[in-house]
Amino acid sequence: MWFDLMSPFETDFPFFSEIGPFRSALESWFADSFSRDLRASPAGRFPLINIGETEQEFRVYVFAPGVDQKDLSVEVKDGLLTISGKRVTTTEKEATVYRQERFNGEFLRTLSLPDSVDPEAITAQAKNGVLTLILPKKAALQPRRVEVRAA
Amino acid sequence: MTSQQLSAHVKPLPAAQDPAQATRREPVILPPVDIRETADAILIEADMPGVSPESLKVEVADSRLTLEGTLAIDLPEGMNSVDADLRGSHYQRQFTLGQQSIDPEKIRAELKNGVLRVSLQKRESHRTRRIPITS
Repeated sequence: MWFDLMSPFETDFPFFSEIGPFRSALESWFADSFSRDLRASPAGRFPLINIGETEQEFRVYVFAPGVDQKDLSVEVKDGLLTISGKRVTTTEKEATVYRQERFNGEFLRTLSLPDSVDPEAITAQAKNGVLTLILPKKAALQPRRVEVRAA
Repeated sequence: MTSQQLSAHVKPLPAAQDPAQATRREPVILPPVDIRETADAILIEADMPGVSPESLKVEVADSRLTLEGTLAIDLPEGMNSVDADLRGSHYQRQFTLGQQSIDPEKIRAELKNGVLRVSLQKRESHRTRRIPITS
């Protein structure tokens, strides 16, 4: 593992060294988790996904920076939402690598959809490296207001 | 990583509805970076998805390079967080620069598709020079 070989926190790399509380914070976060591999970004996976819910819809935010649209695929099948693709981060050939924390390679994440979601109505849009999926709930399952009429 | 560990350094997604969350000190998101050195420059790439060019700050002061930005995503009103890998809304990471090696006047930054690329040009004296060999 490159971490052991390069030991970036102790290096006397002439151009950079990380400073301040971030360095110790980073070290402490990883100290008691799965491994000390820095390629594991904050939550250890790629892309990171946040999910929110309103009365009308679910929203899935896929944090996929630097992924070309052509390399990203979103599929719905049998109640499963699959987000897959690839990201190639290395471009320069003649370079010395000091840190490689960003995810590089192919990825796949699957979410199971609640029954209330209408799979035909899912839409997606991308902006600033965030893919936003809007998953409307089936009309029959949305909360309805019952009007009370005076007798 | 358990969700408990996760919440120790990251903040739940839409904190606004919950007053207890709103008062809690907001943890910083540490963007993962790649750092490479070529013959004439140092290149830093940082994953900062959801950061708009307007909120992005790349600053050099006292030979300290700061990358900073605010995560701005469109959250509909009344949304509750179901699950959140990414918590917090402020990205920040700092590095110290070698004063002699980097030319602070020649720093370029580009934000594209959520990836920040910063290129730090080395001073002439610190570049790799290829010496032609004559036979």
